[in-house]
Amino acid sequence: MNKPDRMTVATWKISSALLEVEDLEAALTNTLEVLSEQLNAAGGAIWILDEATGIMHCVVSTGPLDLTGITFENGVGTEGLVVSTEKSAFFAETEKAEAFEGDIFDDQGFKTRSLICVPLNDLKKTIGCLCLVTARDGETFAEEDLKISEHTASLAAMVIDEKGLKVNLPPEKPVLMELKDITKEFPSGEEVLRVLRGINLKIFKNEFVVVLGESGCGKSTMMNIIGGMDHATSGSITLEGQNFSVPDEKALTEFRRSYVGFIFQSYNLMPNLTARENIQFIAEISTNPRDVDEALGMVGLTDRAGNFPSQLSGGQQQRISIARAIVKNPRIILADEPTAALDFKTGQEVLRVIEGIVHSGDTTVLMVTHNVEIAKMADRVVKLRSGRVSSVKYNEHPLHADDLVW
Amino acid sequence: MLSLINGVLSAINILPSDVRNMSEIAAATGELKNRKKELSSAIKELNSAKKKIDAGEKKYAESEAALRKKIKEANLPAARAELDRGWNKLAASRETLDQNWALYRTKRAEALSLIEDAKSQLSSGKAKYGKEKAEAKDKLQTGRSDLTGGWQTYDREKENARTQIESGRAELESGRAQYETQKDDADKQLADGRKELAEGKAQYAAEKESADQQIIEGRGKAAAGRKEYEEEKEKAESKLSEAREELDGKWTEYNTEKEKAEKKLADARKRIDHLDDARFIVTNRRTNESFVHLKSSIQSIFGFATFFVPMFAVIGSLVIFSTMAIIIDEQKKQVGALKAMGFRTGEIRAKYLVFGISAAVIGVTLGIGLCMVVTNIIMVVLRKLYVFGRIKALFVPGTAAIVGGATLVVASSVVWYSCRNLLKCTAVGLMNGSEPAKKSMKGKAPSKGRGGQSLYSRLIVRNILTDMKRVLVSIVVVVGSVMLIGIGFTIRFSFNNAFDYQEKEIYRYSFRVDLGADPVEADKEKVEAIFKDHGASYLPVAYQTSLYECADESAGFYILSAENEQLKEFVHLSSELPESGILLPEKFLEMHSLFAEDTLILYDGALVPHKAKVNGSFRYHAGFMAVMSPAAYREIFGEDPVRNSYYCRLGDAAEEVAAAIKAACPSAQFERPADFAARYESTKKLFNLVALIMVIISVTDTLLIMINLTNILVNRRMKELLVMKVNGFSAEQVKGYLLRETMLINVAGIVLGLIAGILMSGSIIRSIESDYTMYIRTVSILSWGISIAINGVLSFVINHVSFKNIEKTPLTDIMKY
Repeated sequence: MNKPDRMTVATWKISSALLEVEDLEAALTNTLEVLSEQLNAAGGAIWILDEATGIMHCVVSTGPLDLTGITFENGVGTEGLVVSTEKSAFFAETEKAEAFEGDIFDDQGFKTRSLICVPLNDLKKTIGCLCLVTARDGETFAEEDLKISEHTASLAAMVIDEKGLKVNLPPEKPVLMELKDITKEFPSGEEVLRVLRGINLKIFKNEFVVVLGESGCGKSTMMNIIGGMDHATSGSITLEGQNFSVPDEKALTEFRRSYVGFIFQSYNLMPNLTARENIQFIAEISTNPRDVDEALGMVGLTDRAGNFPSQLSGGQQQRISIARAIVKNPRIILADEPTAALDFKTGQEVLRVIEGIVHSGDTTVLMVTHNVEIAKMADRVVKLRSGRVSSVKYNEHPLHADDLVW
Repeated sequence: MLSLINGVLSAINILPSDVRNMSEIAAATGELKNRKKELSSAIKELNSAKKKIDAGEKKYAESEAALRKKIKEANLPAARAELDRGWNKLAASRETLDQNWALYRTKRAEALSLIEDAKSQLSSGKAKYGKEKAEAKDKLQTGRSDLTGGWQTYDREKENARTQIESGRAELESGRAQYETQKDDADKQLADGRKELAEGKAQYAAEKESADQQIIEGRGKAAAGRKEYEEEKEKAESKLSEAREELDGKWTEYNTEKEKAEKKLADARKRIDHLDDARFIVTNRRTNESFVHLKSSIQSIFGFATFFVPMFAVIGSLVIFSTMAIIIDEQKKQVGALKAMGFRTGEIRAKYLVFGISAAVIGVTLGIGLCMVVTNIIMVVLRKLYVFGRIKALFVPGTAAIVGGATLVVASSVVWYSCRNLLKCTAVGLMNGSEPAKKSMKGKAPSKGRGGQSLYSRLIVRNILTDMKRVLVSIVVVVGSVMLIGIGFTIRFSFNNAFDYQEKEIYRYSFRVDLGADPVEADKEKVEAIFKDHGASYLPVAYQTSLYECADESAGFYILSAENEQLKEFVHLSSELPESGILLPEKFLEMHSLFAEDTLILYDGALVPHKAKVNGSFRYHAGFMAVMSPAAYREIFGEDPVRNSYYCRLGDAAEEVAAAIKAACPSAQFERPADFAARYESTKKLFNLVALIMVIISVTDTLLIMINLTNILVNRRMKELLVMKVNGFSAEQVKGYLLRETMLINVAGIVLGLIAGILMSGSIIRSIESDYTMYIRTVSILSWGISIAINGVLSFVINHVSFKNIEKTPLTDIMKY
């Protein structure tokens, strides 16, 4: 008897893994593991589409990264395209493939060499996708591997359909602000530079969100639009359910005065005002200000109230900047790289303050940073790529500032 | 022979004594030669005649001898009778011969003298001929060269004429074409004209009839007129006879007056005969009105320069210093980059020195160019006042070198000093903005402001304290602007109001008529009668030119003597006229350091000095005049003042009265307040021009400098302002915050400028006053009000322009600052 071919062996093993285990999640995990082993993949993930929201959720992942809790929008990235187009994607060498739009593994820091992504199609509709990747220094997939994956995906889809899979969605928080299809274009000579290509993002109340992304991906532009410092070219923004898409200058000023607090990388304190006066300066125009001394106390600088910024260290200045932001009792605090100019210890101090703000009040903190370590203390981590939200990860157990090390 | 001699004499007579030209000389010479020939032939005939006479005598002697022999041999009675007859014939012949000889001698002598005259005339004629020949040769040469030139001109003109003929022909052709074209129109017009003519003729016929009628009527009127003329003629004749009677009366009066005048003349002659030694005084140019006028203008311009030049120099230096320093300071990132790239200190400094020096050179060049333009504008006005020779250039190399050199030194020094400060810093520090260390507040501030001081106030004060360089320069620029504009207007109003005041407030008369130093009573009576006829208000006064001496200096001025109470109506003196002593203009006392009770020497018409006591002063803005009562005059000069002038006050009829007086007294001179104003009109224009130039320069300077400084302020504070906007401050609130700071600086500048300007304006006005003028020295509220208003407008414009950047800069640019 001829030795069974690889495809047959793989299919048999996968079928066993999928059909012989009662618990669906465990079955899917086993299936993924077997498949990864058969194909010499470094890691894999199964994504399920929540039809109601159009968001893809990771239910199972293997390999060096835990992708559970990460979501992304259907149609975004390779995985999203596979689901939306119901067509498999196979990239033997992702670096050389021009059509490759990146994947979640790449977003999360695992550089892929080879990628297979196949739709989970239960003959009626596509309910998700299955992805496998190899490491940059690993092997490449072959066409046969794609076929195996497709078979596996079909089986998995049928099993999921038969047994039913409940995706554990994070508890829905009240939405503070929602961005829909936000685009932003800048004229660049005779061309138009599209920085934001359709941002869809909800900002919930009382959460800590970290925004990550490479340089030029549109992080700051998105922050500027959220903070009312810039207008979107198209799209809609709602603020606590009210349309805030095309506010006039007066409305924007009121928004910035009452809703938003800013923390800048370079502190931007008024050099000729003391620490307390810097906070008081903003408190005087706020509609519902906190007590100045209380704000100063929250950042632990009551004893430096009478000092000018030039007499304070970088960390102290940044804390005063935070106090200035929180004195307004804002609904959102936007922090643009607040720890970039600080050393670890000082940065940790600042993060502790921010953590305290989030936990103590009704304020959402949206922070842009390059430091992925800080993302571990966030409730959600939003990744931007090429002007779109490529993934949103929910941290079920975010770390504390004191637990961070970088 | 006589006729021959007469011919010679007539020939000699016709020898011209006034031969004018060569041809006449030649003709005369030829004539002379002919006559000489005739004379020679006449002399030859005379000689032959003499020979004949000698031969005749010889024959007579022989005949006498033969006769005596014959007498001896012949019948004596018959022979005696024959002899007697012969003797009688001989006697008659001898007598005739003697007569002829006498005549010959006479004529010969005459001929010889005539010949001598002719010879001398010939020689003089020859000399003259020689001379005139030479002159004629010269003239011929000149004529030849003129002819040559004329031929050249002729050729040239001929060529031009040919060209013109050609063009004329072309024009003629075009004219012909045009004529052809227009001929039809002309024909038509001619037909129309003929029609009009026919109509006109008809009209003429009709009007002729009416004209004839009018002529008939006119003739009737003429007859009536003639009758009227006859009647009027009768009346005129009767008036004429009356006038004649009056004339006779006047002749009588004239004779009476003539006697009086002759008596006066005799007295005067007596006085002249008994005159003392002549007195003389030495005066300087102050008595020359033209010189005084010119000196006045020069003093004023010099006064302007004395004040404004140092002020502009100080402001200019400060502006150069601060602006250059700020510009270099703004370049610190580039300097840091250059240092990081390995440029040496000297190489970096050289770049900025080139910038500083080239900016200074451009500025100096433009400034000198503008200076020449402005100077020429002033010269245009001055040329209307004075006659200058041809002034080739107003560029003064020495001054230009000093100004240019000083500017270059200041600019270079500032650049050097500013570069030195930057070059001391590290490259990294310069690039990241941490060096040089920004000036910041030191120490600890109280949590709450003193006495409820608002946060804004504290912030503004601290902002000013940490940016003192820019603030001080801004204040200085505003101070300078306020002062320059205020003083410019103060000078203008001071000058204009001074002369307006003198014309309208001091001079309260319509005109003053001067009847000369010693007027006749009749003239005075005529003038007074005219005044009375017209109901004019008038006052006879003594008004004379005089000389004064003070501190060994003599100059001319006027003396006015009248009663105080009466004078007030015509001349307003700011002090009461005392019974003794003299009142002098305030400027006069100031100039000569005189006070009340001091003595001044006054000279009378005979140049006899008299002492006069100064008893006060009065306000008078132009010219010098001593005013005294008649009693004081008597006390000083020992005689009554001669009332030779009249002040007259009469509204619109003043000129009519003046004309009547002039007709009655042709030698009367008039002085009007308007004449006084007209004399200073050009100087007024000069002052207005200078004030305007001051204002324009000041406004332009202030605008440019303050826009620059305010832009620098906005740029430096942009980050702070954007942070405010990001945190919810509206654009208006942000601008208002900055506006408070700039307004505080402006207000400080305005207040200091007002104080300094008002304090200095008095001395400035004094410095531009000339010797004979006193301007209004009090503070001109209007001038300073205008200065504040202009600076307020400038401040508004500057802030409006500079603050636009605050709105234009997007909030997203916050990271760039």
